Amino acid sequence: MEEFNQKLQEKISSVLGETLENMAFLGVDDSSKEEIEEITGKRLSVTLLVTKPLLLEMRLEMDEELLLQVVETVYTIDRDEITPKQVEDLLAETLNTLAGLFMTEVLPEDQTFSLNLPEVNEEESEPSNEAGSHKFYYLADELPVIVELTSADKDALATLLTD
Amino acid sequence: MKRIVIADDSSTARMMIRRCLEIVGLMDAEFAEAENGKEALALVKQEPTDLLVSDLNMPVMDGEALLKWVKASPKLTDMPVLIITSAGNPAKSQELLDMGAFSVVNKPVNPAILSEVLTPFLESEED
Repeated sequence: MEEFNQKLQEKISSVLGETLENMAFLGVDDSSKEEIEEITGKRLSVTLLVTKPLLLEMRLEMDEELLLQVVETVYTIDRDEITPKQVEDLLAETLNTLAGLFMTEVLPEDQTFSLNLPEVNEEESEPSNEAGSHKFYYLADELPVIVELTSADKDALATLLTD
Repeated sequence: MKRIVIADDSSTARMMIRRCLEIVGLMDAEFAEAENGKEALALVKQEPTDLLVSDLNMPVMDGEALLKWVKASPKLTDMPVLIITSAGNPAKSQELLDMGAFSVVNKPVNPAILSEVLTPFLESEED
């Protein structure tokens, strides 16, 4: 079980790092629930379902200030020109990219996968407390990023990661 | 001047792809953007297009259906279609290449990867 959690965290750290580095030259540091809880500020979240070959929900939560910084970099625009739609789109595209990289990392080369379109959560939502849920906490530019995975079939995910 | 159509439901992805294409030497290209495969198909039918860049997961018409339509059309079949997707792995990439895609690139896209896969296209730009 410990090996599974460690491998899962390694994969998530790697794909999150690659995603934010490519999008906005941002580095990512591991953090903890306690450290993240001390940082105030509005956060936005998005959810995406992996539907094949296993059912997996991925949720990404990012600090709004961090999202604004990334939008400024990606779109090369000033802060006062940014629209809420651009912020939400960037959050959704970040999770879409992260989920694709994660599935490519964990699946065998001959195994295809399917992702649903990401859905931005309308209100600040708390990460779930389901038994099959795994949450990982990070800091990017000292601002919070949380990645959560909930698998409908925990054994299938564990098998992929430990094979 | 080259005409390039970029199809992706994410404006962030379209912007990132366009920036990368500009960096690899297509600064002077004419870019047209579509939010889904249906819009992209209309754009490439409207005017001769040198390169179609498409995501896979899109509402209304996805990238796979768009690729099928393009390759089935005698007028469009020679147009290179570059797929840039988050849902691609070696198995899916091969499937798309067999369907006629020019190349398949995984997100996150960056200029180095695009420069590599677009070398033949960029060389024809220099001619």
